[in-house]
Amino acid sequence: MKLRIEFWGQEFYANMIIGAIGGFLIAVASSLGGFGGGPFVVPLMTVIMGLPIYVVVGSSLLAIFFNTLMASSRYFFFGQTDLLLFVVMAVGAIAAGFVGPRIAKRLSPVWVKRVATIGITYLGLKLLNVPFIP
Amino acid sequence: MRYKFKLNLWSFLLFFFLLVFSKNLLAQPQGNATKPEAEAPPLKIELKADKTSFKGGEKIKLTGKVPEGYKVNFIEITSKEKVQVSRLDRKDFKFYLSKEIPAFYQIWINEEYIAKIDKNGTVEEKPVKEIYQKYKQNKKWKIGEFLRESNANVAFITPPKEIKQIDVWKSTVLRAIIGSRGIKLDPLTDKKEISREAARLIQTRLKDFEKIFVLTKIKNNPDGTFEAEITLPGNAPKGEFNVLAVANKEVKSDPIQLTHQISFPTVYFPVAGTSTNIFGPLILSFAICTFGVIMGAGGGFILNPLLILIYGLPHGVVAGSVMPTVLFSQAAGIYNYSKIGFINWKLGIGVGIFMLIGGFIGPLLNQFVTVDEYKFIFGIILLILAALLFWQTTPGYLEKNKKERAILQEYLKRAKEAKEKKSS
Repeated sequence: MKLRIEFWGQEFYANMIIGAIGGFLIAVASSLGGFGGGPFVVPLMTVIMGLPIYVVVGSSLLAIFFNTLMASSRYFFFGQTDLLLFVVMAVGAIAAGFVGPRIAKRLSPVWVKRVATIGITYLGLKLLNVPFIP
Repeated sequence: MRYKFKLNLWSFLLFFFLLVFSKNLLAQPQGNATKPEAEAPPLKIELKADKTSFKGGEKIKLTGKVPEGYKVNFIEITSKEKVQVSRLDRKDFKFYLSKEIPAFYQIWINEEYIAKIDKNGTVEEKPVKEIYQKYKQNKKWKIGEFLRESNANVAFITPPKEIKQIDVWKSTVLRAIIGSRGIKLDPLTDKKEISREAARLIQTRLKDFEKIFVLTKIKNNPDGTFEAEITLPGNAPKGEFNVLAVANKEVKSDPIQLTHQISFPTVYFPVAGTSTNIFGPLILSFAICTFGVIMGAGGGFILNPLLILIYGLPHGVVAGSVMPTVLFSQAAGIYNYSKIGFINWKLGIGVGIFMLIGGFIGPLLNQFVTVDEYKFIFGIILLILAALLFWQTTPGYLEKNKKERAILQEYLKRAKEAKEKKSS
Protein backbone atom coordinates (compact mmCIF):
# COMPACT_ATOMS: atom_id res chain seq x y z
CA MET A 1 0.00 0.00 0.00
CA LYS A 2 1.64 3.18 -1.15
CA LEU A 3 0.61 6.58 0.04
CA ARG A 4 1.07 9.44 -2.40
CA ILE A 5 2.59 12.45 -0.73
CA GLU A 6 2.89 15.91 -2.19
CA PHE A 7 5.50 18.19 -0.70
CA TRP A 8 6.37 21.55 -2.14
CA GLY A 9 5.38 20.55 -5.62
CA GLN A 10 7.24 17.24 -5.50
CA GLU A 11 5.64 13.80 -5.37
CA PHE A 12 6.74 10.90 -3.18
CA TYR A 13 5.36 7.46 -2.49
CA ALA A 14 5.52 6.25 1.10
CA ASN A 15 5.16 2.55 1.95
CA MET A 16 2.50 2.77 4.62
CA ILE A 17 2.65 -0.91 5.63
CA ILE A 18 6.23 -0.43 6.79
CA GLY A 19 5.29 2.95 8.24
CA ALA A 20 2.40 1.49 10.21
CA ILE A 21 4.22 -1.54 11.61
CA GLY A 22 7.41 0.39 12.30
CA GLY A 23 5.56 3.30 13.87
CA PHE A 24 3.51 0.97 16.04
CA LEU A 25 6.52 -0.97 17.33
CA ILE A 26 8.53 2.18 18.01
CA ALA A 27 5.54 3.67 19.83
CA VAL A 28 5.12 0.58 22.05
CA ALA A 29 8.82 0.58 22.95
CA SER A 30 9.06 4.30 23.53
CA SER A 31 5.89 4.57 25.62
CA LEU A 32 6.92 1.51 27.64
CA GLY A 33 10.28 3.11 28.33
CA GLY A 34 8.96 6.65 28.66
CA PHE A 35 11.01 8.53 26.08
CA GLY A 36 10.28 10.29 22.79
CA GLY A 37 10.80 8.14 19.72
CA GLY A 38 12.50 10.77 17.53
CA PRO A 39 15.86 9.08 16.91
CA PHE A 40 14.03 5.95 15.74
CA VAL A 41 11.17 7.45 13.74
CA VAL A 42 13.42 9.70 11.63
CA PRO A 43 15.59 6.77 10.38
CA LEU A 44 12.41 4.73 9.86
CA MET A 45 11.00 7.37 7.54
CA THR A 46 14.23 8.28 5.77
CA VAL A 47 16.11 5.00 5.47
CA ILE A 48 13.36 2.37 5.43
CA MET A 49 10.54 4.35 3.83
CA GLY A 50 12.96 6.19 1.57
CA LEU A 51 11.70 9.73 2.10
CA PRO A 52 14.04 12.74 1.96
CA ILE A 53 14.91 14.39 5.24
CA TYR A 54 13.11 17.66 4.46
CA VAL A 55 9.81 15.82 4.23
CA VAL A 56 10.50 13.96 7.44
CA VAL A 57 11.64 16.63 9.95
CA GLY A 58 8.21 18.14 10.58
CA SER A 59 6.02 15.14 9.81
CA SER A 60 7.90 12.77 12.12
CA LEU A 61 7.43 15.24 14.95
CA LEU A 62 3.69 15.19 14.32
CA ALA A 63 3.62 11.38 14.34
CA ILE A 64 5.57 11.20 17.60
CA PHE A 65 3.31 13.78 19.18
CA PHE A 66 0.36 11.38 18.86
CA ASN A 67 2.31 8.74 20.76
CA THR A 68 3.53 11.10 23.48
CA LEU A 69 0.08 12.57 24.05
CA MET A 70 -1.62 9.19 24.30
CA ALA A 71 1.07 7.58 26.50
CA SER A 72 1.27 10.61 28.82
CA SER A 73 -2.47 10.61 29.43
CA ARG A 74 -2.48 6.84 29.94
CA TYR A 75 0.27 7.15 32.56
CA PHE A 76 -1.57 10.02 34.18
CA PHE A 77 -4.81 8.06 34.53
CA PHE A 78 -2.92 5.02 35.79
CA GLY A 79 -1.79 7.29 38.64
CA GLN A 80 1.87 6.97 37.71
CA THR A 81 2.67 10.61 37.06
CA ASP A 82 4.47 12.30 39.93
CA LEU A 83 3.60 15.95 39.32
CA LEU A 84 6.53 17.26 41.34
CA LEU A 85 9.00 15.05 39.50
CA PHE A 86 7.36 16.11 36.23
CA VAL A 87 7.82 19.81 37.07
CA VAL A 88 11.46 19.28 38.07
CA MET A 89 12.19 17.34 34.88
CA ALA A 90 10.33 19.89 32.72
CA VAL A 91 12.24 22.85 34.19
CA GLY A 92 15.53 21.08 33.47
CA ALA A 93 14.43 20.22 29.94
CA ILE A 94 13.19 23.72 29.11
CA ALA A 95 16.41 25.30 30.41
CA ALA A 96 18.34 22.78 28.31
CA GLY A 97 16.30 23.87 25.28
CA PHE A 98 17.74 27.38 25.62
CA VAL A 99 21.31 26.43 26.47
CA GLY A 100 21.73 23.37 24.22
CA PRO A 101 21.61 25.06 20.78
CA ARG A 102 24.15 27.68 21.89
CA ILE A 103 26.66 25.05 22.91
CA ALA A 104 25.86 22.94 19.84
CA LYS A 105 27.08 25.73 17.53
CA ARG A 106 30.59 25.46 18.95
CA LEU A 107 30.85 21.69 18.81
CA SER A 108 31.37 19.29 15.97
CA PRO A 109 28.15 17.25 15.69
CA VAL A 110 30.08 14.18 14.58
CA TRP A 111 32.20 14.19 17.69
CA VAL A 112 29.18 14.73 19.90
CA LYS A 113 27.60 11.65 18.32
CA ARG A 114 30.77 9.63 18.84
CA VAL A 115 30.84 10.51 22.52
CA ALA A 116 27.12 9.73 22.77
CA THR A 117 27.67 6.34 21.09
CA ILE A 118 30.19 5.36 23.74
CA GLY A 119 28.12 6.72 26.61
CA ILE A 120 24.91 5.05 25.47
CA THR A 121 26.65 1.73 24.78
CA TYR A 122 28.06 1.80 28.30
CA LEU A 123 24.68 2.59 29.84
CA GLY A 124 23.01 -0.11 27.74
CA LEU A 125 25.51 -2.76 28.83
CA LYS A 126 25.13 -1.68 32.43
CA LEU A 127 21.35 -2.06 32.23
CA LEU A 128 21.79 -5.51 30.71
CA ASN A 129 23.87 -6.46 33.75
CA VAL A 130 26.84 -7.50 31.63
CA PRO A 131 29.60 -8.66 33.98
CA PHE A 132 32.89 -6.75 34.37
CA ILE A 133 31.20 -3.39 33.88
CA PRO A 134 31.84 -1.06 36.80
CA MET B 1 -23.67 -45.09 117.84
CA ARG B 2 -23.57 -41.39 118.37
CA TYR B 3 -19.96 -41.30 117.52
CA LYS B 4 -20.59 -43.16 114.35
CA PHE B 5 -23.29 -40.75 113.42
CA LYS B 6 -21.04 -37.86 114.14
CA LEU B 7 -18.44 -39.40 111.95
CA ASN B 8 -20.97 -39.84 109.24
CA LEU B 9 -22.02 -36.25 109.64
CA TRP B 10 -18.41 -35.15 109.38
CA SER B 11 -17.82 -37.34 106.43
CA PHE B 12 -21.02 -36.02 104.90
CA LEU B 13 -19.85 -32.45 105.42
CA LEU B 14 -16.47 -33.33 104.02
CA PHE B 15 -18.11 -34.97 101.04
CA PHE B 16 -20.35 -31.95 100.55
CA PHE B 17 -17.38 -29.62 100.81
CA LEU B 18 -15.43 -31.60 98.22
CA LEU B 19 -18.45 -31.68 95.96
CA VAL B 20 -18.86 -27.89 96.04
CA PHE B 21 -15.22 -26.94 95.75
CA SER B 22 -14.01 -29.78 93.57
CA LYS B 23 -14.98 -27.82 90.52
CA ASN B 24 -12.68 -25.04 91.56
CA LEU B 25 -9.89 -27.33 92.63
CA LEU B 26 -9.99 -29.30 89.43
CA ALA B 27 -10.53 -26.32 87.21
CA GLN B 28 -7.63 -24.40 88.64
CA PRO B 29 -4.84 -25.91 86.50
CA GLN B 30 -6.94 -25.67 83.35
CA GLY B 31 -7.71 -22.04 84.02
CA ASN B 32 -4.03 -21.28 84.40
CA ALA B 33 -3.23 -22.67 80.99
CA THR B 34 -5.70 -20.51 79.13
CA LYS B 35 -5.21 -17.43 81.24
CA PRO B 36 -3.00 -15.24 78.97
CA GLU B 37 -5.43 -15.56 76.09
CA ALA B 38 -8.63 -15.33 78.05
CA GLU B 39 -7.76 -12.33 80.17
CA ALA B 40 -8.36 -9.03 78.50
CA PRO B 41 -5.07 -7.12 78.89
CA PRO B 42 -2.33 -9.39 77.53
CA LEU B 43 1.34 -8.86 78.27
CA LYS B 44 2.53 -5.62 76.76
CA ILE B 45 5.93 -4.27 75.90
CA GLU B 46 6.52 -0.69 76.91
CA LEU B 47 8.25 1.21 74.12
CA LYS B 48 9.77 4.66 74.15
CA ALA B 49 11.93 6.63 71.76
CA ASP B 50 14.42 9.33 72.75
CA LYS B 51 12.88 11.75 70.23
CA THR B 52 9.62 12.30 68.43
CA SER B 53 11.01 13.69 65.20
CA PHE B 54 14.17 12.74 63.37
CA LYS B 55 16.23 13.49 60.29
CA GLY B 56 17.50 10.97 57.78
CA GLY B 57 20.55 9.06 59.04
CA GLU B 58 20.02 10.21 62.61
CA LYS B 59 20.26 7.59 65.35
CA ILE B 60 17.05 6.93 67.20
CA LYS B 61 17.33 5.20 70.52
CA LEU B 62 14.49 2.91 71.47
CA THR B 63 14.14 1.80 75.06
CA GLY B 64 11.48 0.12 77.10
CA LYS B 65 10.46 -2.75 79.30
CA VAL B 66 9.53 -6.28 78.38
CA PRO B 67 7.37 -8.62 80.50
CA GLU B 68 9.34 -11.21 82.41
CA GLY B 69 10.61 -14.10 80.34
CA TYR B 70 10.28 -12.37 76.99
CA LYS B 71 12.71 -10.59 74.70
CA VAL B 72 12.25 -7.99 72.01
CA ASN B 73 13.05 -9.80 68.77
CA PHE B 74 11.58 -7.58 66.08
CA ILE B 75 10.99 -3.88 65.47
CA GLU B 76 8.52 -2.96 62.77
CA ILE B 77 8.69 0.47 61.10
CA THR B 78 5.93 1.62 58.75
CA SER B 79 5.54 4.94 56.98
CA LYS B 80 2.08 6.44 56.93
CA GLU B 81 2.68 7.75 53.40
CA LYS B 82 1.04 5.49 50.86
CA VAL B 83 2.02 4.70 47.29
CA GLN B 84 0.42 2.73 44.49
CA VAL B 85 2.06 -0.58 43.68
CA SER B 86 1.04 -3.20 41.16
CA ARG B 87 2.44 -6.49 39.98
CA LEU B 88 1.63 -9.24 37.56
CA ASP B 89 1.82 -12.73 38.98
CA ARG B 90 3.48 -14.83 36.30
CA LYS B 91 2.07 -18.11 37.58
CA ASP B 92 -1.63 -17.43 37.13
CA PHE B 93 -1.44 -14.12 35.23
CA LYS B 94 -3.32 -12.23 37.87
CA PHE B 95 -2.63 -8.53 38.14
CA TYR B 96 -2.69 -7.07 41.66
CA LEU B 97 -2.88 -3.37 42.45
CA SER B 98 -3.13 -1.48 45.72
CA LYS B 99 -2.99 2.23 46.42
CA GLU B 100 -2.33 1.74 50.14
CA ILE B 101 1.16 0.27 50.19
CA PRO B 102 3.41 2.05 52.72
CA ALA B 103 6.10 4.08 50.93
CA PHE B 104 8.60 2.76 53.45
CA TYR B 105 8.59 -0.45 55.45
CA GLN B 106 11.21 -2.21 57.51
CA ILE B 107 11.49 -5.01 60.01
CA TRP B 108 14.58 -4.91 62.21
CA ILE B 109 15.51 -8.31 63.55
CA ASN B 110 17.47 -9.13 66.67
CA GLU B 111 20.62 -10.82 65.37
CA GLU B 112 20.70 -13.18 68.33
CA TYR B 113 17.22 -14.45 67.68
CA ILE B 114 16.82 -18.15 67.00
CA ALA B 115 13.98 -18.90 64.65
CA LYS B 116 11.73 -21.86 65.29
CA ILE B 117 10.17 -23.64 62.37
CA ASP B 118 7.45 -26.19 62.91
CA LYS B 119 8.04 -29.01 60.45
CA ASN B 120 5.23 -31.55 60.79
CA GLY B 121 5.22 -31.33 64.54
CA THR B 122 8.97 -31.29 65.14
CA VAL B 123 10.28 -27.86 65.96
CA GLU B 124 13.54 -27.00 64.25
CA GLU B 125 15.72 -24.21 65.56
CA LYS B 126 17.97 -22.08 63.40
CA PRO B 127 19.81 -18.83 64.16
CA VAL B 128 18.20 -15.98 62.24
CA LYS B 129 21.68 -14.79 61.17
CA GLU B 130 22.10 -17.88 58.99
CA ILE B 131 18.68 -17.48 57.41
CA TYR B 132 19.41 -13.81 56.77
CA GLN B 133 22.72 -14.56 55.02
CA LYS B 134 21.04 -17.19 52.86
CA TYR B 135 18.32 -14.79 51.66
CA LYS B 136 20.71 -11.88 51.23
CA GLN B 137 22.60 -13.77 48.55
CA ASN B 138 19.51 -15.05 46.79
CA LYS B 139 18.41 -12.60 44.10
CA LYS B 140 15.13 -14.42 43.58
CA TRP B 141 14.15 -14.29 47.23
CA LYS B 142 10.51 -14.46 48.19
CA ILE B 143 9.24 -12.34 51.02
CA GLY B 144 6.61 -14.82 52.19
CA GLU B 145 9.18 -17.59 52.59
CA PHE B 146 11.54 -15.37 54.54
CA LEU B 147 8.81 -14.08 56.85
CA ARG B 148 7.83 -17.65 57.69
CA GLU B 149 11.33 -19.05 58.04
CA SER B 150 12.64 -16.24 60.23
CA ASN B 151 9.40 -15.96 62.25
CA ALA B 152 9.37 -12.28 61.26
CA ASN B 153 5.76 -12.76 60.20
CA VAL B 154 4.79 -12.14 63.84
CA ALA B 155 6.02 -8.58 63.29
CA PHE B 156 4.27 -8.15 59.95
CA ILE B 157 1.41 -6.35 61.67
CA THR B 158 0.74 -2.89 60.31
CA PRO B 159 0.37 -3.47 56.53
CA PRO B 160 -2.40 -6.09 56.78
CA LYS B 161 -4.17 -3.80 59.23
CA GLU B 162 -3.92 -0.65 57.10
CA ILE B 163 -4.38 -2.07 53.62
CA LYS B 164 -8.09 -2.31 53.01
CA GLN B 165 -8.24 -2.93 49.30
CA ILE B 166 -6.21 -4.90 46.80
CA ASP B 167 -7.75 -5.04 43.33
CA VAL B 168 -7.30 -8.07 41.14
CA TRP B 169 -7.50 -8.58 37.38
CA LYS B 170 -7.17 -11.77 35.39
CA SER B 171 -4.92 -10.86 32.47
CA THR B 172 -4.77 -12.54 29.10
CA VAL B 173 -2.53 -11.81 26.13
CA LEU B 174 -5.55 -10.91 24.00
CA ARG B 175 -6.77 -8.40 26.58
CA ALA B 176 -3.29 -6.90 26.89
CA ILE B 177 -3.17 -6.35 23.12
CA ILE B 178 -6.28 -4.20 23.25
CA GLY B 179 -4.73 -2.30 26.14
CA SER B 180 -6.76 -3.73 29.01
CA ARG B 181 -5.48 -5.00 32.35
CA GLY B 182 -7.79 -7.98 32.00
CA ILE B 183 -11.07 -9.15 33.47
CA LYS B 184 -11.71 -7.45 36.78
CA LEU B 185 -12.19 -9.91 39.62
CA ASP B 186 -13.49 -9.21 43.12
CA PRO B 187 -10.96 -7.40 45.31
CA LEU B 188 -9.23 -9.47 47.97
CA THR B 189 -11.27 -9.65 51.16
CA ASP B 190 -9.78 -12.55 53.11
CA LYS B 191 -7.42 -11.22 55.79
CA LYS B 192 -4.87 -13.92 55.09
CA GLU B 193 -4.87 -13.28 51.35
CA ILE B 194 -4.52 -9.52 51.87
CA SER B 195 -1.62 -10.10 54.24
CA ARG B 196 0.16 -12.41 51.79
CA GLU B 197 -0.35 -10.13 48.80
CA ALA B 198 0.55 -7.00 50.80
CA ALA B 199 3.94 -8.54 51.57
CA ARG B 200 4.51 -9.31 47.90
CA LEU B 201 3.56 -5.79 46.85
CA ILE B 202 5.95 -4.39 49.47
CA GLN B 203 8.69 -6.57 47.99
CA THR B 204 7.78 -5.32 44.49
CA ARG B 205 8.04 -1.72 45.67
CA LEU B 206 11.19 -1.88 47.80
CA LYS B 207 12.79 -4.78 45.93
CA ASP B 208 16.05 -5.12 47.85
CA PHE B 209 16.09 -7.65 50.66
CA GLU B 210 18.39 -5.50 52.78
CA LYS B 211 16.14 -2.50 52.34
CA ILE B 212 13.27 -4.30 54.04
CA PHE B 213 14.98 -6.50 56.61
CA VAL B 214 17.79 -5.29 58.83
CA LEU B 215 19.78 -7.32 61.35
CA THR B 216 20.54 -5.35 64.47
CA LYS B 217 21.60 -5.64 68.06
CA ILE B 218 18.68 -5.42 70.45
CA LYS B 219 20.06 -5.41 73.95
CA ASN B 220 17.70 -7.27 76.29
CA ASN B 221 18.88 -6.63 79.85
CA PRO B 222 18.28 -9.12 82.70
CA ASP B 223 16.05 -6.62 84.52
CA GLY B 224 13.57 -6.68 81.63
CA THR B 225 14.59 -3.43 80.01
CA PHE B 226 15.83 -3.30 76.43
CA GLU B 227 17.73 -0.92 74.20
CA ALA B 228 17.98 -0.67 70.43
CA GLU B 229 19.18 1.86 67.93
CA ILE B 230 17.57 2.42 64.57
CA THR B 231 18.37 4.78 61.72
CA LEU B 232 16.19 5.56 58.76
CA PRO B 233 17.70 6.66 55.44
CA GLY B 234 17.44 10.25 54.21
CA ASN B 235 15.34 9.19 51.23
CA ALA B 236 12.61 7.85 53.51
CA PRO B 237 9.25 9.57 53.03
CA LYS B 238 8.35 12.60 55.10
CA GLY B 239 5.81 12.54 57.86
CA GLU B 240 4.78 9.99 60.44
CA PHE B 241 6.15 6.53 61.01
CA ASN B 242 4.66 3.80 63.18
CA VAL B 243 7.13 1.87 65.29
CA LEU B 244 6.29 -1.40 67.05
CA ALA B 245 8.41 -3.66 69.23
CA VAL B 246 7.49 -7.34 69.02
CA ALA B 247 8.51 -10.33 71.10
CA ASN B 248 6.21 -12.98 69.65
CA LYS B 249 2.73 -13.40 68.31
CA GLU B 250 1.03 -12.37 71.55
CA VAL B 251 3.51 -10.02 73.18
CA LYS B 252 4.09 -6.68 71.52
CA SER B 253 4.01 -2.96 72.20
CA ASP B 254 1.51 -0.33 71.24
CA PRO B 255 2.70 1.64 68.20
CA ILE B 256 4.61 4.85 68.86
CA GLN B 257 4.87 7.67 66.36
CA LEU B 258 8.02 9.22 64.95
CA THR B 259 8.07 12.07 62.45
CA HIS B 260 10.59 12.36 59.66
CA GLN B 261 11.35 16.03 59.21
CA ILE B 262 12.56 17.23 55.86
CA SER B 263 13.27 20.79 54.86
CA PHE B 264 14.01 22.45 51.55
CA PRO B 265 15.97 21.67 49.37
CA THR B 266 14.96 18.14 50.32
CA VAL B 267 11.46 17.45 49.05
CA TYR B 268 9.16 14.45 49.07
CA PHE B 269 7.97 13.05 45.75
CA PRO B 270 4.54 11.73 46.67
CA VAL B 271 3.95 9.26 43.83
CA ALA B 272 7.52 8.03 43.69
CA GLY B 273 7.50 7.73 47.50
CA THR B 274 11.02 9.07 47.92
CA SER B 275 12.53 12.16 49.52
CA THR B 276 15.55 13.69 47.88
CA ASN B 277 17.40 16.94 47.37
CA ILE B 278 15.48 18.68 44.60
CA PHE B 279 18.64 19.97 42.92
CA GLY B 280 19.89 16.46 42.22
CA PRO B 281 17.19 15.50 39.70
CA LEU B 282 17.05 19.10 38.43
CA ILE B 283 20.74 19.26 37.56
CA LEU B 284 20.59 15.73 36.17
CA SER B 285 17.66 16.64 33.94
CA PHE B 286 19.34 19.86 32.77
CA ALA B 287 22.69 18.21 32.02
CA ILE B 288 21.24 15.20 30.23
CA CYS B 289 18.70 17.21 28.22
CA THR B 290 21.39 19.71 27.15
CA PHE B 291 23.47 16.82 25.92
CA GLY B 292 20.35 15.38 24.26
CA VAL B 293 19.66 18.63 22.43
CA ILE B 294 23.27 18.81 21.22
CA MET B 295 23.28 15.28 19.84
CA GLY B 296 19.80 15.68 18.37
CA ALA B 297 17.99 13.00 20.36
CA GLY B 298 15.82 13.67 23.38
CA GLY B 299 17.11 13.24 26.90
CA GLY B 300 14.69 10.51 28.04
CA PHE B 301 16.95 7.75 26.76
CA ILE B 302 19.62 8.53 29.28
CA LEU B 303 17.51 10.25 31.91
CA ASN B 304 15.15 7.36 32.67
CA PRO B 305 17.73 4.67 33.41
CA LEU B 306 19.77 7.13 35.47
CA LEU B 307 16.76 8.08 37.59
CA ILE B 308 16.24 4.38 38.29
CA LEU B 309 19.91 3.55 38.88
CA ILE B 310 20.72 6.61 41.02
CA TYR B 311 17.50 7.29 42.92
CA GLY B 312 15.87 3.89 42.76
CA LEU B 313 12.56 5.34 41.63
CA PRO B 314 9.88 2.91 40.38
CA HIS B 315 10.13 2.51 36.60
CA GLY B 316 6.42 3.23 36.08
CA VAL B 317 6.69 6.58 37.83
CA VAL B 318 9.86 7.51 35.95
CA ALA B 319 8.25 6.80 32.59
CA GLY B 320 5.00 8.48 33.58
CA SER B 321 6.72 11.64 34.77
CA VAL B 322 9.42 12.07 32.12
CA MET B 323 7.26 11.31 29.10
CA PRO B 324 4.97 14.37 29.40
CA THR B 325 7.94 16.76 29.65
CA VAL B 326 8.59 16.50 25.90
CA LEU B 327 4.98 17.38 25.03
CA PHE B 328 5.66 21.13 25.07
CA SER B 329 8.80 21.07 22.98
CA GLN B 330 7.08 18.78 20.48
CA ALA B 331 3.99 20.99 20.29
CA ALA B 332 6.19 24.08 19.82
CA GLY B 333 8.14 22.31 17.08
CA ILE B 334 4.97 21.24 15.27
CA TYR B 335 3.63 24.79 15.50
CA ASN B 336 6.81 26.30 14.09
CA TYR B 337 7.07 23.82 11.22
CA SER B 338 3.39 24.13 10.35
CA LYS B 339 3.70 27.92 10.14
CA ILE B 340 6.13 27.55 7.25
CA GLY B 341 4.21 24.66 5.71
CA PHE B 342 6.84 22.10 6.53
CA ILE B 343 4.57 19.35 7.74
CA ASN B 344 2.98 16.78 5.52
CA TRP B 345 -0.24 16.10 7.39
CA LYS B 346 -1.07 12.98 5.43
CA LEU B 347 2.21 11.31 6.34
CA GLY B 348 2.30 12.62 9.91
CA ILE B 349 -1.25 11.55 10.76
CA GLY B 350 -0.96 8.29 8.78
CA VAL B 351 1.99 7.06 10.81
CA GLY B 352 0.75 8.95 13.89
CA ILE B 353 -2.44 6.88 14.17
CA PHE B 354 -0.41 3.70 14.51
CA MET B 355 1.87 5.39 17.00
CA LEU B 356 -1.25 6.42 18.91
CA ILE B 357 -2.25 2.77 19.21
CA GLY B 358 1.28 1.87 20.29
CA GLY B 359 1.17 4.61 22.91
CA PHE B 360 -2.04 3.09 24.26
CA ILE B 361 -0.45 -0.31 24.85
CA GLY B 362 3.06 0.67 26.00
CA PRO B 363 2.13 2.14 29.41
CA LEU B 364 0.14 -1.01 30.19
CA LEU B 365 3.10 -3.23 29.37
CA ASN B 366 5.15 -0.98 31.63
CA GLN B 367 2.89 -2.07 34.53
CA PHE B 368 3.26 -5.72 33.57
CA VAL B 369 7.06 -5.83 33.52
CA THR B 370 9.32 -5.91 36.57
CA VAL B 371 12.15 -3.45 37.10
CA ASP B 372 14.67 -6.02 35.91
CA GLU B 373 12.74 -6.67 32.72
CA TYR B 374 12.36 -2.94 32.19
CA LYS B 375 16.12 -2.52 32.51
CA PHE B 376 16.68 -5.38 30.09
CA ILE B 377 14.33 -3.93 27.45
CA PHE B 378 15.83 -0.48 27.94
CA GLY B 379 19.35 -1.87 27.63
CA ILE B 380 18.53 -3.42 24.26
CA ILE B 381 16.87 -0.21 23.04
CA LEU B 382 19.98 1.74 24.06
CA LEU B 383 22.27 -0.64 22.18
CA ILE B 384 20.14 -0.23 19.04
CA LEU B 385 20.28 3.54 19.51
CA ALA B 386 24.05 3.39 19.93
CA ALA B 387 24.32 1.41 16.68
CA LEU B 388 22.16 4.02 14.93
CA LEU B 389 24.31 6.84 16.26
CA PHE B 390 27.49 5.03 15.26
CA TRP B 391 26.12 4.56 11.76
CA GLN B 392 25.42 8.28 11.62
CA THR B 393 29.12 9.00 12.18
CA THR B 394 30.36 6.78 9.35
CA PRO B 395 31.83 8.63 6.33
CA GLY B 396 29.26 7.33 3.84
CA TYR B 397 26.36 8.57 5.90
CA LEU B 398 28.02 11.91 6.59
CA GLU B 399 28.50 12.64 2.91
CA LYS B 400 24.92 11.78 2.04
CA ASN B 401 23.63 13.64 5.05
CA LYS B 402 25.62 16.75 4.11
CA LYS B 403 23.87 16.92 0.74
CA GLU B 404 20.45 16.30 2.27
CA ARG B 405 21.00 18.87 4.99
CA ALA B 406 21.99 21.43 2.35
CA ILE B 407 18.74 20.75 0.49
CA LEU B 408 16.84 20.97 3.77
CA GLN B 409 18.38 24.35 4.58
CA GLU B 410 17.57 25.57 1.09
CA TYR B 411 13.94 24.49 1.43
CA LEU B 412 13.65 26.03 4.90
CA LYS B 413 15.02 29.31 3.54
CA ARG B 414 12.59 29.32 0.64
CA ALA B 415 9.68 28.44 2.94
CA LYS B 416 10.50 31.30 5.25
CA GLU B 417 10.83 33.73 2.39
CA ALA B 418 7.52 32.62 0.91
CA LYS B 419 5.86 33.14 4.26
CA GLU B 420 7.32 36.62 4.64
CA LYS B 421 6.11 37.56 1.18
CA LYS B 422 2.62 36.37 2.04
CA SER B 423 2.44 38.30 5.27
CA SER B 424 3.85 41.53 3.80
